[in-house]
This record gives sequence, structure tokens and C-alpha cells, in this order.
Amino acid sequence: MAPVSALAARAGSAAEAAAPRRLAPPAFVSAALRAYAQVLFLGRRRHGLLLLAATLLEPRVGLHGLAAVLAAQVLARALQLGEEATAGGLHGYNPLLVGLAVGASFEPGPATAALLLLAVGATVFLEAALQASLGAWLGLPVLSLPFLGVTWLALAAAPSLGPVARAVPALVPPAPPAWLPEAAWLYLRSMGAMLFSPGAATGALVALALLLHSRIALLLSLAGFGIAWVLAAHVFTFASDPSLLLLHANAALVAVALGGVWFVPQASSFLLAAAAVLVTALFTAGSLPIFRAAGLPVLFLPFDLAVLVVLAAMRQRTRDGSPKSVDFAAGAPEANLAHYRTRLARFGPGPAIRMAPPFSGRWTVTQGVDGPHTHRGAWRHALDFEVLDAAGRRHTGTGTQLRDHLCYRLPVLAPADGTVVKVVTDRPDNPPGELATRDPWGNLVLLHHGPGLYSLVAHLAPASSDLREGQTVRQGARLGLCGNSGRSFVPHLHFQLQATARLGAPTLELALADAVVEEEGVPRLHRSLLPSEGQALRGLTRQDDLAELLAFPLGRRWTWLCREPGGRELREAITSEISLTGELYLASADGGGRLWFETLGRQLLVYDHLGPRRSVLHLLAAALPRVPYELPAGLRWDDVLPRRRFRPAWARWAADLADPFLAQDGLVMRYRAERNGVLQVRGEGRLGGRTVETGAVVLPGRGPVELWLQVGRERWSACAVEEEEP
Amino acid sequence: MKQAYERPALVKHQPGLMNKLSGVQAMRPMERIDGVPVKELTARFGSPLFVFSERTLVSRARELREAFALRLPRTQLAWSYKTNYLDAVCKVFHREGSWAEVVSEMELDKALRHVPGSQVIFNGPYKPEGALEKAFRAGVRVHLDHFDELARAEAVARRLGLRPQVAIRVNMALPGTPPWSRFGFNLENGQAMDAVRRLRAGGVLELRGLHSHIGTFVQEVDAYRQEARQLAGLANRIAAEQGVAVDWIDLGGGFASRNTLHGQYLPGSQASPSFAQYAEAVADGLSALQLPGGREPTILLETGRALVDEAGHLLTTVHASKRLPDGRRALIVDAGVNVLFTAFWYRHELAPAQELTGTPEPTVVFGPLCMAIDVVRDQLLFPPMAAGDQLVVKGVGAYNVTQWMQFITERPAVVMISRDGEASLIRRRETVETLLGQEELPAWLR
Repeated sequence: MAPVSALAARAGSAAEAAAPRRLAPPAFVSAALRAYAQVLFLGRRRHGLLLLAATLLEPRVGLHGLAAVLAAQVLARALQLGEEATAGGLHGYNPLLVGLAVGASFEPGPATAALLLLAVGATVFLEAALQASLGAWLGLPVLSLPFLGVTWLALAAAPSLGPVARAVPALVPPAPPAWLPEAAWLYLRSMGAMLFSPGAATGALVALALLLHSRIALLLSLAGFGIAWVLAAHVFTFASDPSLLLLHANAALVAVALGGVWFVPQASSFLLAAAAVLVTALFTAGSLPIFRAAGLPVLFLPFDLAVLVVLAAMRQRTRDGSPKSVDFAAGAPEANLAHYRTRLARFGPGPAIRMAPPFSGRWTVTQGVDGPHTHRGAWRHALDFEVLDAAGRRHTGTGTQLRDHLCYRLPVLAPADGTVVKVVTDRPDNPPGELATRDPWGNLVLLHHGPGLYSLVAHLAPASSDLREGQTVRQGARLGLCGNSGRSFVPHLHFQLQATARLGAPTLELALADAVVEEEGVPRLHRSLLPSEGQALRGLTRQDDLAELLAFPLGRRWTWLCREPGGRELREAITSEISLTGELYLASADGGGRLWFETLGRQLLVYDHLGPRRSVLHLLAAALPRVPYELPAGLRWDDVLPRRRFRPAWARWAADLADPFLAQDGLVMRYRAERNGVLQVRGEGRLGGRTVETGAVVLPGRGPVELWLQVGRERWSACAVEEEEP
Repeated sequence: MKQAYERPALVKHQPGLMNKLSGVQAMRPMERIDGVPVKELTARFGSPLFVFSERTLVSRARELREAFALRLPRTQLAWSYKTNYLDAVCKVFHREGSWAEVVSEMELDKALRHVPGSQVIFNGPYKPEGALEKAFRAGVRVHLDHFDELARAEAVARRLGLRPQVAIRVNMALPGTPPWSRFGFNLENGQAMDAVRRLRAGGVLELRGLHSHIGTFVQEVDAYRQEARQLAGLANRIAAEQGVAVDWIDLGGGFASRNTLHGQYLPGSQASPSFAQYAEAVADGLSALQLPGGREPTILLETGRALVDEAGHLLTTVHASKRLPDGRRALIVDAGVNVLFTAFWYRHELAPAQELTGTPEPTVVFGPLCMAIDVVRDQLLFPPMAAGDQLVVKGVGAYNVTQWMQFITERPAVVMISRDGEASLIRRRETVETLLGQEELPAWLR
């Protein structure tokens, strides 16, 4: 679940990366524009600019809003509330709403200005305080709660401030123009109401910003509005125009937030959003009389309540499946969907922490998940491994001695980085054919990898582990030696995942990451594999010379000559950089593109990239999305590229609306490598009726020097022309 | 069917012959190699003929790799070129992921045609400046053998403006193995550590690895345990004293193949340890390794003989059969020690290439050379064979096609049988032109 800080971070990074650097406005302006964008979960500053324009259609409201944003910026910076958050517009959207509300409620004047400043100050404080509690402690977003609190207080306080702030007389709702259907008219005005200017023109600009940002978001706002419209017509009766607008604005916001921002936009998230809209309608209808009695407007309370309640409730699920919460930093609903789908296709459905095979060399599954012997009931998700020789024998000689068994006393390794939670080393090995009936696990090591994720290796040889509880281990570290202790007839390794540290806890679904399986004599790398009984597999190892070949040393700068299908050539410089939080990325100096990668493990992994199709980063992501740092002869591997990147812009918009309902949209590519002095990686796949081919040439000491991508007859290519050492 | 004529002979009754443990098994004929009839091979490519089985090469390489991978994740094989540097054989190993281990400039040239320099290990006591220069330019891992070479390597590196990655070769006394102290720096007398300090002080070369090679046909796995432990100890010491964690530890070669040595009581198939046993000993010895941050160096193996011996066969044809004055039968075959150098070490297993009848009797197998030393097998029980019959000499893959002599006759052809059972020529039979091509007749003799 994205805490509010993650929302800020993703809005920030997406906008940062997408906008060309040379156009970057001053930090102050940039932060202000982001504050506008944040109101509607938009990321880009240009969309913020559109919203700013929308507010200025009602100059009194708009100017108060702008003043509030700027004042909040000054205050947040003075208070040092975090450079990143402030620049990302986080300390801006609540003050903006406060400003708009004050502007909408009071006539301009020195008194209103004073009230505005007081309110903005209170908002900034309240927001910072709520973020620390809601955000850090419960992991819930702050939403517009600070705005709500402060606005109510300001409105309640206004009369006692004396003659200064004069309330604006209530507006008489204008009649819709003849050419516009009533529903559309109402929709546009409720979109405008989100910015306290319930005019159709304002609403149209808001809707436009939403459309530019995300087609899915616009669709969701329409759907949310539609449900509320039906409800208002048939279930609840809202007498006044303001309460109708209130209902529809809240409903549309809830639909966008839950349907595509906090959950990956899919049919299931749309259903959830629809349910949440119903809840919103109830909250609206229910709170109206209460607030009317208190003389206060309801504002976005139904939205805040509905989103918080649904988020907290969905957090209680045992499985974060469908709808899938956005537990990563992405951006617009489309980006969330593409990111999630690509992640699912590339890394499997399991937890973000991926489990490598807990051994070295080739082992064979002798009891799989739902196995006939002990992998049943609550312990069904477990794997037993043994070593078999080429003839399929598990032991030499008669097998009556432990030493006869090929896997006996072979090292057992940590499947992922973790902390040792439990170690048992004092149980004896059973002679082959016998077992300890009272001791299911024998000698074991239980590791903690992350929240609710533990791994267990069991039946280890006695005294074969010198680990201590509390010690941290890295993936691949030796945990102990395979043995025959506990409920084990013959030496074997038992491996399972569980959600708690209790021995005997129910097992969790598991899959092994990056396993190599021989298929008809050809080794194949599986990104995520649940091996079945009898399947032999091994993990990847890291060969230093390959890793050196495919590292992008920090600080290195390359210049590439890129050629587009039309024959146009352009130079692009990229540098290898590291972010504050330790993510490695290649940044295009001129195009603003970015490509995140990872080289620490057993393969080069490209995670995601932003930027135009002509960029060398696009070619890099297509040609080398993953290259194992070990290339056994004939190794084949698949990877999935986001299909969206290969569509022209017009097709992308059309597809955006259909994508949430389609099963998957990945472009499956098959890769193989050849190494004779130089390393060549080739990939091929199909996109609709066209073939997609990629190629990369990697030179020792230089890294990739040639990249190409061919889609049908169109060919993009790039070659490295110069480079600088870090 | 007409029975073949068999010359009568008086054979002393030997009760042991009926025993299932006697050597009669050697008589089981070997009519095919990987499914290809021997007769067809000799008909196509002539006799004598070396035949390599790709299937066996691959399966041995995988067996070794998997045995080590189970215990040491970062094990890397480097094919020992001197054992057999036929391109096809090297290529099979490189395809299986092997690097190259070379001991001369010629081998270096050969290896660099197949693998990048970073996957070549350059060993040996003789590396002239030109070879060092070539190696450094290609990024080859040079294993230094003596102080003179260290100085020479520094001079070359300085001249080239490079900072090559090198290793120190170490020799050590190990219980149960003959001393192998000719090569490298001695561990016990502190020479190895001196070399490390000297190398570090020079500041020109980068110390990245350690290397040792403890012998050849070492059947004592414990020797590898000791070797690995000593090298691990040295690596620990270098890390503690010099702050350098080595990236690779090369344990050399020397694993025994399944051949039988002269004077060995048990047959090699029983006496030679399995790859798993070697791997276990090495892993056990290396557990002494304690590098900072739990770093695990790559473990290099330069196994040659144990990988290739079994894959090589020598097909030879009986030229004559005669009776020696001492009553033994003698076979004269068309391949002798000129092409079967290993006959001096091994009691090669021989198999007839066709069904034979008759009572096995003590037999000597002589080669075609007009030299008394040309004995392929001096004593074995073998059924009578007639001229034109064929024999398969097994386990000849190592060293023969690199150490063979061109003596009074041309070197025979070499064939490889692919995994699909297809025989292809991998080295043509030499001709008189091969020989004459290298010769010059001075003008005054023309």
C-alpha cells in the first residue's frame, strides 16, 4: 500500500524524469505546479499548470489558492519539512484547497488575507503532524484531512474574527446551455467543484487535465459520477444543487483514487471503486444533515473517509491478489497497470523478495507442492530436494549408509538475504530408512526475509550450522549441510516459506526465482518456477568476468549515435548514476529519459525506463532487459517487455481504455547469447503480426557498444561513439 | 558357417581363468563407438585412427562441473590445452563453459581464437617477453612462476602501460604425493609470501589469484584437501597482511582418469576416485577460507586427463600375429608408441573390434616401429587374432594427440563422433607432403 510519502515520491520521480531538463522551471514554480497536480493525483507539472489555469477562471478563488500554495511553500521550506516532499508538492495541495475554499467563501480583503495566512499555517502544521502519525504509523495517506480540519475551523472562526471577512453570497446555479445534456453539465460542474469553482469551463479544464494524465482516470471519474448520478436520481434525494455537486465530486474522486491510484486498474479494482462510490454516497447523505446542523460544509469528508476506510479494510486481506494494491512507486493508472503487469510477468506473483534455490548445483525435486507424503494440508507449499546422478540414482552403493546418498552433507544456502530467527543443530541424523517420529523438522534454520515472510530449511546434518539467532545472512550464504534429521527417511532438503516465525506455521505459496532447467538438452532460465516432482534445477551463479562486462560503472558517461527508422541520426549522452536511496540508473543527459537497473545479483536486470522511443535507453531496455551473469552453453531465457512502449501514441490512448480488461499486455521476448571474445545477445518476439528482433554487442572493457531493435521493417539502432571513464 | 582356422597351440591350464574376477573381461569386443561401427570408421578414415566421442567429453565435463557445483557454487573449469589442443576437442569444452589453460605462446594463440582473454590462464615456467605482452594485451590471467618472471612481467606491463591481473603459483609439500616443487614459489620456506610482498611492492601488477598444481594422476583425494587448505590459509594471510582478497584460487589439475597405470594393482575404474570425492575434499579444504565480507573466490580447475582420456579411442589393425620364443603370442599392430605415447604410463585396455573365438592366452602387442621400445601392451590375456582384425585401444584421449611423434611414418587421422552419432574428420592424416612442406634443400644440394 502506498503511504503518502510514496505517492509523493512517485509523482516526483515520474515528473522529474519525463520532463526534459532544459525546460525545468525554478524550484519554487515547479513545486507550486506539483501542488496543483497533486489535488487530482496527477504527476506532471504541465497538468498542474492546466489546473492552475482552471482555478483562475474564477479569479477570486484562483488567486487565493495560488497565494495559499506560495505561502505554504515558504513556510514548508522555512520549517525544513523535507526538501523532497516540499518540491514534490506534498506541502502544497492541502493549503491549495484551503486557499480555494477561503477564496470561495469570503470576499477578498486584508481580513480574508489574514485568515488565509492563518489557515495555511495551520494546514502545513497539521499536514506534517498527520503525515508522521497516519503515514508512518498506520501507513495510510493523509489525503485532504488537514484541509478539512482547518477549513472547518476557519469557517467556524470567521464570524468571531469580527467584521473583517465577509462571506460570499450563495451562488444561484446557472441553467445548462441547451446543447449540453444535463448529465454532462452536472459532470463538468462537479469536476469544477473539486477546485471550488463549479463552472462548466473550469470543469472542462479539469477533465482535460485528467484525460491528458490518464485515460483510465477520466473513465473512472465518469463511472464514479455515473453511479452517483443514478443514486441521486433513484435512491437518495438531494434537494440542493451544492449537495448534488458535493456528492458527484466526491464520488468521482473516490473512483479515481481507488480504481487506479491505490489499486492497479483492473476489473476487480473497478468493482471495488464502484462499491466505494456507494459507500461515499452513504457518507455524503449521512453527513449532510449533521453538518448542516453545525453550519459547516461537508467538503471532501466523504472522499477521505471512504478512501481511508477501504484502504484500511483491504489491508486486512490475507492475500493481496485482486484487486492488487499498488505496492510500488509508479504514476498514472496506466503506468501502475503496465508496471504491475510487467512485474508479474517478469518476476512472478510472489512477494517482492525473490527466493533463489537454496542450494548450489543441480538438485531434483523428490516431493513437490501437494506431495503424497508430508506436503499436505497447511504444509502443502513445500519442496523436498535430493541429488540424483545422470542415471537417476539418489545414492551410490546400496544406500544403506548415509554417506551413500549423493546429497548427504552438501551445503544448504540462504535463498535470499535475511536474518536468522531460529537455529537447531543438535538433532542426530537418522540411519537411512528410519525417522524421528516426534521431531518433524530435525535440525533447521529459519530465516526472516521481510514482513510476514520466513523461509525454513530442515533435516540438516547435526552440528552443520554455526549460525546464531539474530545474525544476518546474504543470499547464497551457507546455512548448514543437508542431513537426515527429524522426520526424514533418507537425506534430503526440505524448503518452505511461512508467514510467522512459529515452527509448524502454515506454509505460504512459493516459487523459485532464476532457476535453470534442462529442457531437451537446452538449459532454460526460468524467472519464476514452481518445480514439480522429478524436475531437476539449479540456481544461477555469478561469473565475475561477465558481471564486469555488463556493469555500468558509476559516473561513466557514454555518447551514442542513435539512428531512427527514417534515417535521422542524433547523438545522445547517458551517464550512470545513483539515487539518494541507492537505486542505480542511467540518465539521458539531453532527453530526460531514465533507466533503472541492478547489477548486484546474479544477472543484469533492467527494471523500468522512461523516455522517448528514439532514446538509446529504450533500445537498452529492449535488447538487454536481463542478462544472466552465467551463460551455460545454449542458455535460453524469456523476458516480457511492456507492450505499451511499442505502440504509437494514438494507439496507446485507445489501448489504455481496453487494457484494464485484457488478460495481459506483455511482449514476450526470447533471448540467447553467444560469446566469442565479444558477447552478443539476441532477442526475438512477435508484436501483433510483426516480428520484433533485438540485438546487442558487448565488448570486454567497454560494455554494450551496439544496440538495435527491429519491429517489422522499422529499425532503431545505436552505437557507442565515445565514452569517459568515471 | 565355416569355422575360422585357428593355429593350434599348447596352453597351460590355469584354474584362475575360470574365475569371474580374472582378466577375461578384456575380451568383450567393442564393435561400435557411440553407435558407429569400427569397421566403417577405419574403412572411411583409414587405420590407425583416433576417434573421440563428443558424448563422453560432454558427459565427463558435466559430471565434473556438477560434482563441484554441488559444493562450491563458483567453480570454473579451464581446459588444459596441453592435454589435447585439437580445435574440435577444445571447442567442445568451451561450449560447455570451460575456460582455457595454456602453457605456451602457441597454445595462447590457439586459445585466443576460442575464448576472450579474461577466460585464459597462462601457466608454465617459460613465458618469454613476446608471450607476456600478448597475454597482457588480451587481458589473460598470467600465473607467475618465478622471481625472474615477476620482474619480466613488470617490465612488460610498465612498457605497455597496463596493470595486468596476475596470480602467484605456489608449490608445497603434501603427504602422500611426490614433490612437485619445480614450478612456482615454495610455500613452506616463505618464498610464496615473499613473492606476494614483492609483487605488491612493485605496484605494477595486480595480485588477483593463487595457483598450485600438486601432480598428475593423483589418486589420493586427501592431497587436494591439504592443497586447498594450504591455499586457503595463504589467501587468508594475504588478506590479513596485504589487505588483498584474491578473486580466484586455481587448484591445478591432476585428477586421475579411469585408466590403469603400469604396476597398479586395482584397475583404474576401481582405484581412481570419482569427481564427487575430489570435490568433497576440495570443498572441505577450502572451508578454511576466511576472506573479509565472506567473499568467495572463483575456484579454478585445470583438469585435463580425467576429462578427455575416456573419450579417446585408438583404432588399430593387426598386421601380423606371431609366436615368440618364450611361447607368448605377439601381435604386430599398425599403431605404436609413436602415436600412443601414453603406453609408457598406462596399461591400456584393449578390446577386439569383432567377435573372437578361441582361448585367451598371454599376448604381447607390439607397434609397427622398428624399435624395441615399441610395446603397446607387454602382457595381456587375449584370444588369437588374425592379420586384418582390428583392435580398440581405450582411454587414449589425453596427451597422445599432442605428444605424438612423427617418426618413420605420418601421424594418423583424428575423427570425432558427434552426439548425434555422426563421424567427422577433425584432423587429416598427414602425408609425405606435410613433412616435405617444412623442409628446404640448400641450393648446393639440388
